[in-house]
Amino acid sequence: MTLHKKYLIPATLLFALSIFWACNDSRVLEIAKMKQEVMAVHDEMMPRMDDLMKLKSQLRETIAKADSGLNSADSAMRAQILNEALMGLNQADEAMMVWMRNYHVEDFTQLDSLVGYLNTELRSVKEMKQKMIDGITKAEEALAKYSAQ
Amino acid sequence: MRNILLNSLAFGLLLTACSRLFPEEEKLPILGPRTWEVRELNGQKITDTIYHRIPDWSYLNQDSQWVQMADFSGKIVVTDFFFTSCRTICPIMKTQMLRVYEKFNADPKVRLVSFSIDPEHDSVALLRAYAAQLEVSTPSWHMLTGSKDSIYALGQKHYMVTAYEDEKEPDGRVHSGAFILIDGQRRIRGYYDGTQEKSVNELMKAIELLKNEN
Repeated sequence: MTLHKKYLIPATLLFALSIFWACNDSRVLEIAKMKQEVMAVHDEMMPRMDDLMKLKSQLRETIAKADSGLNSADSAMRAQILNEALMGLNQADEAMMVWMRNYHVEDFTQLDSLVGYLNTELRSVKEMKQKMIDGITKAEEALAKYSAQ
Repeated sequence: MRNILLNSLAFGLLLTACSRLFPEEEKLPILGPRTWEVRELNGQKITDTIYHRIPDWSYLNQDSQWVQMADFSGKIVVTDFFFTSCRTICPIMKTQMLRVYEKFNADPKVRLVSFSIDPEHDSVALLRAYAAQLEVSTPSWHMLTGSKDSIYALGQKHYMVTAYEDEKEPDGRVHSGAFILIDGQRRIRGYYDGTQEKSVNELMKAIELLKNEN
């Protein structure tokens, strides 16, 4: 009995410590997974910046070309759609650049605040992806409709 | 007859040995699209090959000075596209470009030019701080900022040109980590992967080759 008592405190301590380590380890793993998830969205979209910039330049060229074949109402509609598409691409471009400038995962040392930060960033990087996809789709549609005319 | 045979054999062997002693000089290819122009000289038709050349451009560097492509006439230029807030491939590219800088910064024939693809954020002041942090000097390594649309168009149409011409090329993106080697006549002589040490070693060898050529 005395022997048991002698070991009780260190054993409990060891048990508590091992649980602490195990939990901490799983949190570290969870954080690594979250970081990967955030960067995967970024890595998927970054190459598309080239498409986005090409589309911007094509839209600007199309806007600059006057379309003599359209009546004034259709011409105004064409200008509006092309300009809106260009604006959408500018916003998507800005969304990507702002997201990259503001992503500072290295600023967090506390695990709890890091998990919170990564959750917010995952939402924000996905919003950026959606903006880019929407912008690119709208620009392609506008160009398909008006660039040949 | 036998003597003639032996002599020709000896001569042949000598030629082979000489060609081994003096191997044909390795030359870098000239990349990009090309056209041909026929002109007449003294009544004879001569065909000239017109190579793709980097056009004129003008951007601000980290010292707030205007830098133009024409400033690099006759010089070997290594170019890349980067931005200061990029945390994926840029830190590796930076380390590799620093190796090129350290090897050639004392050589007035070699210049490094890095275009920012986030120029709205990468102001002159920010680029100056970035260059100061790397402890690099301006004449050897220019970091340039300007209009993003124009830098992208320049990169896509004139620097990443082989990939731009052929969409099937693996990686024609401006932000792909490529180091582009330009000769003294503005011609593209090689693409190297700025994220791979081995490829940058190749680039440094190619610079030496170009120095002998110019």
